[in-house]
Amino acid sequence: MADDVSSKIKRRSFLKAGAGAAIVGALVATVAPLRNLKAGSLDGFFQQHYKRLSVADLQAIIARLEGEIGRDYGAAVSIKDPKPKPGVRFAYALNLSRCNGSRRCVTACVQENNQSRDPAIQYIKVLEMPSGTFDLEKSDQHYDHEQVPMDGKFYLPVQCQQCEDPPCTKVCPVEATWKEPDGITVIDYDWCIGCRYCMAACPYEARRFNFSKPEIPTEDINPNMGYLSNRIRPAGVVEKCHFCLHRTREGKNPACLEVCPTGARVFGDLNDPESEIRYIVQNKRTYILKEEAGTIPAFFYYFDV
Amino acid sequence: MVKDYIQFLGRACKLSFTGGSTFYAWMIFLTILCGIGGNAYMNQFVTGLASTGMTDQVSWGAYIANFTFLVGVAAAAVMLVIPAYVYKNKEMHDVVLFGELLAIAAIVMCLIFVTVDLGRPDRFWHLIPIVGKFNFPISLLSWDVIVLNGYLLLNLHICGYLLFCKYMDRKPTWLFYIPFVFIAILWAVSIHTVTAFLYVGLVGRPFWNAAIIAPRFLCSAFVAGPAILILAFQVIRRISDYRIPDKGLHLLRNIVTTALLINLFLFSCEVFKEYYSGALHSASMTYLLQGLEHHGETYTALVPWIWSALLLEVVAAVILITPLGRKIGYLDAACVCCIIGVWIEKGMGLIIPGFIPTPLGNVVEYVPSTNELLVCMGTWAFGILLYSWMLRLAIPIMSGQFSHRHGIALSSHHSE
Amino acid sequence: MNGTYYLAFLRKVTVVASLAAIVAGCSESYPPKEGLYQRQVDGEVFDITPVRGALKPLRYKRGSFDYACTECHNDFASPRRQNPLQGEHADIDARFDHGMNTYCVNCHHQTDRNVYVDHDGSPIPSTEPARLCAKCHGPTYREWELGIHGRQNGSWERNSPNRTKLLCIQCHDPHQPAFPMMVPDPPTIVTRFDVGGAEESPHSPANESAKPRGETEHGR
Repeated sequence: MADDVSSKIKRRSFLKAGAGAAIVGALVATVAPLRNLKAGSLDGFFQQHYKRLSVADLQAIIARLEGEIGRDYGAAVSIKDPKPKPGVRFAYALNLSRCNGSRRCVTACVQENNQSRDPAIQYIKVLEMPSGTFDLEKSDQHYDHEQVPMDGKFYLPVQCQQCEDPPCTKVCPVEATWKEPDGITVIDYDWCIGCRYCMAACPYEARRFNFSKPEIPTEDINPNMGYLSNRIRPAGVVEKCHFCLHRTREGKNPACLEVCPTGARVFGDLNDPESEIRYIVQNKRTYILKEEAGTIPAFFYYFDV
Repeated sequence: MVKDYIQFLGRACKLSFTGGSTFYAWMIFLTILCGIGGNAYMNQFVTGLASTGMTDQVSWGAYIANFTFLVGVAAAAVMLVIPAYVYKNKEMHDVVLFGELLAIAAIVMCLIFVTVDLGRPDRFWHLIPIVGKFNFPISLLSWDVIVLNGYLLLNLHICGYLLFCKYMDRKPTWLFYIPFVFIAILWAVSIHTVTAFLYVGLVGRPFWNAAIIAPRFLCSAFVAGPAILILAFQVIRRISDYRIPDKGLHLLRNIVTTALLINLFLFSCEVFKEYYSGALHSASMTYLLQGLEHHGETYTALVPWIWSALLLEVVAAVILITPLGRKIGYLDAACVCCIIGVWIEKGMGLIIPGFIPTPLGNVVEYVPSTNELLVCMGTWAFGILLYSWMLRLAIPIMSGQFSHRHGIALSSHHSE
Repeated sequence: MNGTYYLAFLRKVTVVASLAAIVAGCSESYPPKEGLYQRQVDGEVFDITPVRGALKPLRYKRGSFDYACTECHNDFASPRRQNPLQGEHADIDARFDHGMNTYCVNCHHQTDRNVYVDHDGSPIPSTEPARLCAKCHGPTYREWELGIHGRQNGSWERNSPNRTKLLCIQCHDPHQPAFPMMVPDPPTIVTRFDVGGAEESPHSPANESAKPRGETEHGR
């Protein structure tokens, strides 16, 4: 009788121990993938929103980011934070009579802004449209002709329109994206939580998401970076065209304009009454995309004739 | 009081692990599914959302589709509250509790789905006001965070309070739950309206930018939620002695029938609006119902799904409006058809076509990856596990077998 | 006679030298010279070579003879009308495509091939080609003056010293001014599952052409 009970007890303890071990084993197996996780720094975790950073904070953050990019990508980079020029309001015009669909702007943008090559991200999409319609559903983004331009088509490059009343900044739950005084809608890549609501909201398909950590060969990295613009983004955040603000806030042209072979692009300050962009907006028959959406883009399309 | 509460918690813990072999098998099975889902999520946490099937073009997929469906279920579960409290139907009072427990489980699943969908879940604290930056009231997503969490707290309070009072054999104080119950009625409508407004407010997505979306959401919620409850009640009847009045089932059946008919009507309104004028913006509806032709390719991935969903809903409607619907077996079949039909209609029939075609006219279809599906499965398993655990505690409390006086005194002929 | 001839010769040399300077700037061969079309500002390098292609001066070829126009037409005036180009000049015609402008002497001076000619016959120095183009392309010239025709590199600020404006003939070959067709850069990736369009996405059931690029010439 005593043997019976003791053997029952032994069996029960054995079963309990076995069950316990099985549970622990299962838990370990469940979280096993985490051993491949590269933990970020604690400073990075507690980093505040861009608008709340003091100058000293930002310097420290930039120093840390430069170090991280150096380690992760093997390139010595320098990140600046140019402030908007007072009284400037940027706008872009694109002459649809001149664009020949060469996509040089797409390539230049990718090179300038350190976009991931794998998976490939491109801020600018050039739409090949049949002449006579503005129905975007008839567009073809993936034309692959031997030569351009093709007869009976016109070419419509689309990138972030830097809207006056952007739907994307309205929907962001953490205010990671906002409109700066010079008209550029920017993203704080270290604040974005990756919910992608802004991507659903954008009527121009302007935003891209980093589904994984960007991969860029070291030799392709542009070391002149801006904190709100072309520094290499982390995984899980949204990015988009920012009018090359690390260039334009210092008086230079955006990369897409610099390489346009037909000179179809015009960029400048709408507040300057003598600027070319002002002339175009006041004198040419300009069109904006999806005017009915009420977003008031800063990107004007026009034809010469 | 506090001592009683702690004792209650301790006993509840013990009760959680008490049960027959069926109970153990069920819970272990669900736990294993959770584990698999958890493992899949760890994969996703490490590699990023690249492990899902989502793309820039279709940036919300299975996670948000399931989230949308479950918010509806959570909202509807509380609809029992109206007849019980507004119409002062004493018999319904106890039954209401099970509905609210379902709401808790559904809301927890919603919160999990939203969290696994984030690209940077480690930055969750950015949502906290003052410490982070909370874009309230402009961002609808911030409204959603408030209403979902508020609803969870409301229901946790109501259920917790009522159950604890029943455990203590005390009559619940009116002030501690009736006001909350009435708030919960309004709040339930608001959680699903806010979720609908997430989509309605987007001017760049003409498929969603329509006033009818919010009523459609609520209607389909009142189909799926009570249908789930009908099935849950029958499970409760089978696994315990607890008496669920037939009146409750009839009430739920009536809600499902009415809501289903209105849901079908609203869907046909949408179809008419898109097809009659043949305007350009009807491309998403065309994609959904017929398939879309784009640069020589035809895209029809969702067509079999939506037609199956419509068929299921019509079959369910026919069963429910005829005398067949009074027979329990047919009622169950109709409920299953409803749940699956609404799930497809809301998830694949509403979320995914909003992204196709894209605002620039491109067509990219979406197929969830295996990892994504495993995470979904794990989340559902967790929700069902949670509900099973809550029933494990609630049923003995409501039937008096788990009470303050004699602890856990389960009757011997429990068939679990 | 000697003095005037010598002066005329000196003038010719100066003009030819400036023309050569401009032409050299236009780059006579590809890849272009370093400096002018590689913008190097703070280490960033863009290739902003205009699309006009190599300078292809028209030459008169007959048998084994290969002459520049100036070798004969500096000494005697050519007739006002010479359409169609006859005989020895017929092959020049084949490489000359300036739309309705079919007379050489609409642009070139009748006796002095080193200058251009204005409406009234007075010369336009070869350092001011825009004045020549403006004779017929008024609206385009006005827009070029304003800065909205053609590309202005360097800066968007109007008064920036870094701003450069190209001359007409730096983008347009004057004898074939229409832009040649270009080979476009590779198509936009369809989804993130395609890298350069080489493979079909495992997840998107159907996608666009997205053919592999292979070797392609970029007509820069």
